Amino acid sequence: MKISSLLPILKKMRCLRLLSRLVEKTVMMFRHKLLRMLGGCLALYFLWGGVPAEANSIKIYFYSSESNINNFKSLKLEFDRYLSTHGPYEFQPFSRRDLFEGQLANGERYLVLLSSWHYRNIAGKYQLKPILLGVLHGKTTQKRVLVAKNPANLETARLRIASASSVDHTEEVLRHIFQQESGVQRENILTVPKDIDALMSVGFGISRAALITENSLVRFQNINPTLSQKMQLLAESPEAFLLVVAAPQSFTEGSEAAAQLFQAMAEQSEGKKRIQMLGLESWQLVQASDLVKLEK
Amino acid sequence: MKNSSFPFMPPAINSLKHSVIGIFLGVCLLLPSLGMAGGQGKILILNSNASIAKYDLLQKEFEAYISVPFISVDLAGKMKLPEELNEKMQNYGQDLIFCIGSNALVFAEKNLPNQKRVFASVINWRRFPIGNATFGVSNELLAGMQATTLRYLFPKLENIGVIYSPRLNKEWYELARQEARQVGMKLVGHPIESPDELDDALEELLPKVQALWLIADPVVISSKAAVQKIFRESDSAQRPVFAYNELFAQYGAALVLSVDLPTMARQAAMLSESLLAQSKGGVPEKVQPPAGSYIAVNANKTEKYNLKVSEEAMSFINKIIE
Repeated sequence: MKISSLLPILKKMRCLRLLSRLVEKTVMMFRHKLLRMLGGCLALYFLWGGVPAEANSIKIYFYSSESNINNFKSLKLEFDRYLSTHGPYEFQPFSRRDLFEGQLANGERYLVLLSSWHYRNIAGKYQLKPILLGVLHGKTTQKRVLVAKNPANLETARLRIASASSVDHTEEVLRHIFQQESGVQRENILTVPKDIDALMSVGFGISRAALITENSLVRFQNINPTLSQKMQLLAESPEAFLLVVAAPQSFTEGSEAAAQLFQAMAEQSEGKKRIQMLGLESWQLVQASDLVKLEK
Repeated sequence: MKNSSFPFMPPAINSLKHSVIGIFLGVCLLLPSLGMAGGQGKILILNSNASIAKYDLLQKEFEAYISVPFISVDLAGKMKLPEELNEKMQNYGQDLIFCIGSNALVFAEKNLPNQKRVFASVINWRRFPIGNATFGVSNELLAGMQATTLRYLFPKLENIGVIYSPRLNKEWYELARQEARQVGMKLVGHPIESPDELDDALEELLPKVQALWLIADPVVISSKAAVQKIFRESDSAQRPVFAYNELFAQYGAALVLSVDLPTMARQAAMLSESLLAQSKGGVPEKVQPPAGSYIAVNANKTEKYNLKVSEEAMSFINKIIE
């Protein structure tokens, strides 16, 4: 091998040595400044979101006993996608009431979306305060109605009722409607995913009666007038609030931010789309007069 | 390994304590099967294959709902049970068998004749000999339920096309046409006698309709190639396809409208309990239609085909496919 062929390699090695000396000198000269900068960066990291997002995030827990909403994966995906652009929020829907309530006992930085009936049952236990009420067709309340296809000879003990609410909630509404124990046996309540399923199960003879919202009945009358004409309204419940957004009483700053965020949802198409997934069209701040009704 | 015994007690007392705990746990576990659950009768749950997610879901929901004692046996996709399981099944003394899937129903008919049976998740149950003791929840949503749901989801949809075999689905088509008319939609049918006619049917039908309704017709869905053709041609014609099974989502179905499995399990449980308590009331309906629906919408497809989903129906969608 000729020495001339090694020259370029030697040149490169010399260059590298010079470069490393230069870096070393610079670091020595500015080491105090560099250390200060690094310290500042670390402080900023921890003060401003350095803590893992999950631990610092505000959880939004959702469970609805009044509607059998079971599109949990889509809800989680869509709400997380929307809410993450507005702050450290994380949406968590629940299919089981016990798991939902178990979470409420484990923290303070959360908001809950739940039915007004459920809110009334647990507000005292978890020290919750209501912030917003769901709105549909310009109203914060809705009635539930009991319909049947052949109301004559209805024997409540053997009456199969289709309902998109939980069994507990259905029993409670029936008690309100009849002003006493309805006589409907718990095991005869068939829970279905949607109000329209409950209505069709009556229309097509699978169940004898259905407990649904008045809004769903009106909508069904428009969609399938032939079938709905064969049904009769048996009774109706008093007006009850739609979904409630609530927060622990101690979580003041969170509730204010959430009120703004949720109210703004209806003004943007992306936000509106998410509200519609909950069967609502917007949110409204809880008024003083609502508070009394919510406790009833 | 840690010793789990109690360190300050003599071994005899330790072993006695363990026995007491063992007996207590045993009693707790045995309580349901000893008939302490408040209902009457016993149920044998026969699962065609518990490793299939939908069968497993049906079993879990059924077990959560019923109040009578039960045991479950998994056929694991086979038609013959190991001796031990077979003995367990034969000796249990069940009053009713809940059959999950077609295999379980066939197995029960063959090996446990003359026992009351309730089936669920049996595709096209009419192809099986249904005796007096067999009851069930069918796997297919009624045509009227589907038409009403379609109208609810897509208020602007006016006409839908369907390709069907008159030999297998003439009655279904006639009924579906009437039901569709009741909700203000026109169902345009195209009968085919053999799979060879599919090309012509698609060519003729697609320009006349706004969407294609795919039904479980073996003459239409005769092969994978036929399915691919249906979706390819529909896409070329800018027509969405509405399917009855989530399997079709991978081919590009804009909507999947199928049975809600948990509701089906609850129906089967209610039916089973009413059969067990039959002395109290009348004979239930032999085979009832499913009461709950499952809706999956492909947001990209509905947007692509300019198919607007009703805002009010958004909360009814179980899954948004993207």
